[in-house]
Amino acid sequence: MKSSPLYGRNCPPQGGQLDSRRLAASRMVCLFAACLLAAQAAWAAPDYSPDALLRAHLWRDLISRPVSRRPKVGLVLSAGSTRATAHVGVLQILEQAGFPIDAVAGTSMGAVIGAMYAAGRPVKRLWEVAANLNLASGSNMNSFRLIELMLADKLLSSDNAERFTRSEIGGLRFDQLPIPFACVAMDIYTGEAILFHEGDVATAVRASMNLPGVFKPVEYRQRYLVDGGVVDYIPIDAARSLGAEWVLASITESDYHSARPTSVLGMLEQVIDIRGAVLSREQRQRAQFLIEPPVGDIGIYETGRVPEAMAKGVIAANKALKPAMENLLLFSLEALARDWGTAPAAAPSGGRP
Amino acid sequence: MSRVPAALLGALLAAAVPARAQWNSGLETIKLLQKQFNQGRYNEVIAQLDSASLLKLRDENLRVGYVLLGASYEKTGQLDQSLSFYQVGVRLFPRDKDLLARLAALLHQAGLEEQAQPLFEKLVLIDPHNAQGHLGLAQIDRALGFLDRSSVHYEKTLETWPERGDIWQEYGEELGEARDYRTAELALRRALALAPEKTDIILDLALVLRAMGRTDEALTELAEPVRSGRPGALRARALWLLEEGRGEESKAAVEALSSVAPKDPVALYVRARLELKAGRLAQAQGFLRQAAAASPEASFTARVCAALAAWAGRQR
Repeated sequence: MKSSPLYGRNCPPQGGQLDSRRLAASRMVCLFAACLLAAQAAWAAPDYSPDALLRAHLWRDLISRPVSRRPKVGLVLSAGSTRATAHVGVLQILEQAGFPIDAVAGTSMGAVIGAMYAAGRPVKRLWEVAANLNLASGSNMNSFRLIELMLADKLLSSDNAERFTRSEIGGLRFDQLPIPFACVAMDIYTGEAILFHEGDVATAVRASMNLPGVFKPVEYRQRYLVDGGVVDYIPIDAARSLGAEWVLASITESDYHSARPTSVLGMLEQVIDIRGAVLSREQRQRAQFLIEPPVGDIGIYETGRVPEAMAKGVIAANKALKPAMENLLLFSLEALARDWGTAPAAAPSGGRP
Repeated sequence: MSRVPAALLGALLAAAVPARAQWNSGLETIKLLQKQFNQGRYNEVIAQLDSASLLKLRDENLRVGYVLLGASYEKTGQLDQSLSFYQVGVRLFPRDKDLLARLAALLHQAGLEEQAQPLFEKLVLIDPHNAQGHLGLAQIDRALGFLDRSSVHYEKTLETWPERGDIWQEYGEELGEARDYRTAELALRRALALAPEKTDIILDLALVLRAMGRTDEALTELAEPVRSGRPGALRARALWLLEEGRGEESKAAVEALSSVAPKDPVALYVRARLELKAGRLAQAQGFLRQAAAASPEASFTARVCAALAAWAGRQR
């Protein structure tokens, strides 16, 4: 057995017999290791700084209020196919922290995740769903269909996407969702961005994630709809249309500068990504806060990297959480202060301590 | 016994004698070095265990040699050297829990979580009950935001080290971040029972109780730190009383805070809030301006107070 200095009084003899000399050596190492360990596990000092206390104080005030007495918070989930599963990680952190979310808008994969969240599906479930994502999810893709697509120009069907959404949230209409939600698709014949905020949610989600060039356009009210990522990669306006005053956007753009596509589908993805990035430059300016998980190198078909994308979402959002809270508080100050002259800002509980 | 096997046996025995002697001499060296280490004579350990001496050691002695050398460099603040020797040690003894734990802890302390994490994972793979591995993973997961996973690792750590108050405290804080306040309270009370002299645990407990809305209990917990004049506790008391609408008590708390920290921005903020409540906008604005000026530039407190001062000015 090897001596285990780091375990201090807990160094148990594990397997094999020690001769007396080795035991003596081990004990001595244990002694100095205990000192080292004590140095490593320093007693933490809780944060009672003015910033920490004031942040917690204002946060309790903010989240204890009905939305009519504070700014309405909108969450925007960008397009990004496999990369956009990072939104699940972002949602996990926001929910963990008790961040208020009063409206959700999404495009493409952002619409799928946003619809499920707005319908009240737990983040844990979103995590499970995303973890099981594969190329055939949301489509009728198989080897035969892929050959058909390549050789006979026969587009795939995204029926499965609608079926999947319906299996998760049922036949809910937009007005039945617990959190107001909107998503965006594009009319392939007019180039218009089509904003969905009424009617059947599953159909709208399918249209929003209907990748052009791969899936047949979705026919809906005399329009032929494809993925909204082409015209509205980061649907800030959709969130505004739901009344959001302070908008947090989770963005999962591609790093197309480093991508060198070699296939037809890869090229198509690259074009959509570049177009999306160009369009989103202005949209970024209109959000109050951005969280950008570093998932730019994950390709549209790399579903094996979904766990990595979600983990990156968690890490990025966790890092951004405090600044996001402070940003929202500063934005909300006037709304909060309006009540301070008349009533105590008592808040029962909630938020991080 | 025929001649050939006897000769072979003789040769083997003859070869073993110097090897045994060398091992014994190595053990003596290690014993001496450990004694020096325990006496804090780290530079002597380093001087004696230069690479040439290290190479003379074998097996367990060599392993302990790497530990001693790495730890001595660590103790003398030469962390890069320490890192190098731990790395070589881990390469030579890839399944050694001690060296793995030391290398991982050093990387973790340096904030190199991506390098530390796989080493801690390897530790718990080799030994599923390895407390050091679980503690490292708990801390890394907590820092990255994976609070569920972090809780599991803290629990595993505490199975091995149930008497470690510092880890119960960390676990309680982590549960507080995850808003599992009830369990956080239990963990912190356990930490306090193990280390009643640690005021920081009381401060943690007060934060958790306040987050649960049990303000009176939180204030009771703060009583001792308040009595000993800790500015943080005095600040929290003033703010929490304000939140509860207990204006007079809040005012008294501010007086106490100001006597310890005359320009404390939170004291000035609370004064401003009390003036706002009384409808005295000009006075409120004055206090808010002072609070902004008293806070580090661009800090959250400075920005909040400056924005509120501007707002109060517009309301006048």
